Amino acid sequence: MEKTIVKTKSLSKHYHVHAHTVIALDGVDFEVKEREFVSIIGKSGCGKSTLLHMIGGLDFPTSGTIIVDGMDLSKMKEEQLAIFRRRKAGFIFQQYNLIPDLNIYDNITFPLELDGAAVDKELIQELVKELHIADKLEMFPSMLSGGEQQRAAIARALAIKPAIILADEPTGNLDTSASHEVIGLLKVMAEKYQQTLIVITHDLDIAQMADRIVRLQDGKIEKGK
Amino acid sequence: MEIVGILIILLLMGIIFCLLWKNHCLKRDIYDFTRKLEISLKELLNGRKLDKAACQQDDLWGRIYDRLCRISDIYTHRNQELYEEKENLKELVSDTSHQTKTCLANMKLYQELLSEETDPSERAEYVTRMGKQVDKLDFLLQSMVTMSRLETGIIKIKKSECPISETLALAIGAVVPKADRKNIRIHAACEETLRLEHDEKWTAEAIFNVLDNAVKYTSENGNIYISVNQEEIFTKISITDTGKGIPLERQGTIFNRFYREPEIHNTEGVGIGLYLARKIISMQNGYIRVESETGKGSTFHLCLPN
Repeated sequence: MEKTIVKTKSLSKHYHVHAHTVIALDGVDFEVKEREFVSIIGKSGCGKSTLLHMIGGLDFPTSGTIIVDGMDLSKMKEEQLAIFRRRKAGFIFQQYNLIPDLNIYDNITFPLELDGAAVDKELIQELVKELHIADKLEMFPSMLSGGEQQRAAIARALAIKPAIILADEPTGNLDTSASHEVIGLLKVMAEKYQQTLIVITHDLDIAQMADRIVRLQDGKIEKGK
Repeated sequence: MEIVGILIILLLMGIIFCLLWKNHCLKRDIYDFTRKLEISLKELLNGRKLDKAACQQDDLWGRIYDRLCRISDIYTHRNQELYEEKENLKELVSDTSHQTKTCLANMKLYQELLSEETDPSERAEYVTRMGKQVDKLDFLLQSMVTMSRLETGIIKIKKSECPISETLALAIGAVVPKADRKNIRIHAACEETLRLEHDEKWTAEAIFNVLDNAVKYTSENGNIYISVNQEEIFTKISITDTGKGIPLERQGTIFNRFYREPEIHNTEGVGIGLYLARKIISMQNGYIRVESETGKGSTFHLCLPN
């Protein structure tokens, strides 16, 4: 059947805080198929974000393996991880993380400039048109509403044509109707550009828009739900 | 004087040597690059997959290799997709032909009984039963037609700006006879002036499919509510039924092709209604969202971009 793009095997992550050991992830076996839309739900502190950070190569696991798009991230060096993040993964966070001193267009093309890749102007125009921010390109982030800023952040994540989009509570700062619209757009775009989408949320309504829902509790995946 | 002359000559020789060395390096790099490119292209042409982990350098070759990997991915993906389509179609054909056969066998039976029966009330009964089989056959064939259109990519979206209420009326009109039979009331609330750029015919088909489904799962004397709301980016057509609802774990799968609720596997349908609806909506850059709880009915939101 369809290809697996993310595969973790007994993935664990321990943090050491003041001689205490915090177990964020405890032997997680998790798989995502190519072009699937998966939402991860669970209480705060259950390890959702840690899992997402591992998949995105933002953090190293304590033990276990994690394979994304045929590459074993647990064996990579920091430098290789940076390249992986720039080319394969598009991140969207609750805080939109737009650079306040750059206008929206420059914000969107920033990751491309970092990788030294040519800016595909047509793609950018298409993206901003579909995300309904085409008339906001000259503006600065502070002049936009929360929903618009998040849409700009989505455009930035998509501009590098990532294989996988990772969103950590993307609608945490938005009201209900803007939340639905942002996730709806994300879903439409991921389908159009054939990307895999993993969204972390605590909002069941939003989780329900996914093809599959995964529940995390105390660093483990809940079974049988 | 002589010493200065020798120094200049040495310096010049040094520079020439440096240039030659640089030239040599450049040549070597170019040869190296083309050789790697040739090997990778050969691999691609032979239909083999490139090893993604093989190259993760941050240079020109690293980026080119990354693109080549993507091309190889797209190739394999397309092949896989074609294969799956074929398998699905095979399954559909065997499924539909089986159902058609049963229909025809039943009709043949009733026709034989009819030719021997003399009692008028019995005859009337057989005729009604035959009628039901004809309806089922008709439904099956229509599904087949829609399905084959879908498979051959005949669905072409022609967007034009027109009132959404007209599209809605088209869909409701088609489902009313079926709803009447179960005495289900359909309540629609939509501003008549609301205009939206969409494909009227196919969008109506999508709405009809969702409505048809709602009627199927709502018990007699139930209600179906339709509302239309324009939001910042999307216009949302919401269809709420008072049916049995969909458990959370099934909500993602109901839009899959050939999906049928486990409890109704023997009744009519091939499970393409919602698949088709989703396909039509996403072809217009929209999406469908479902909100449901077991026993409390479901709401389908069809969202189309403004």
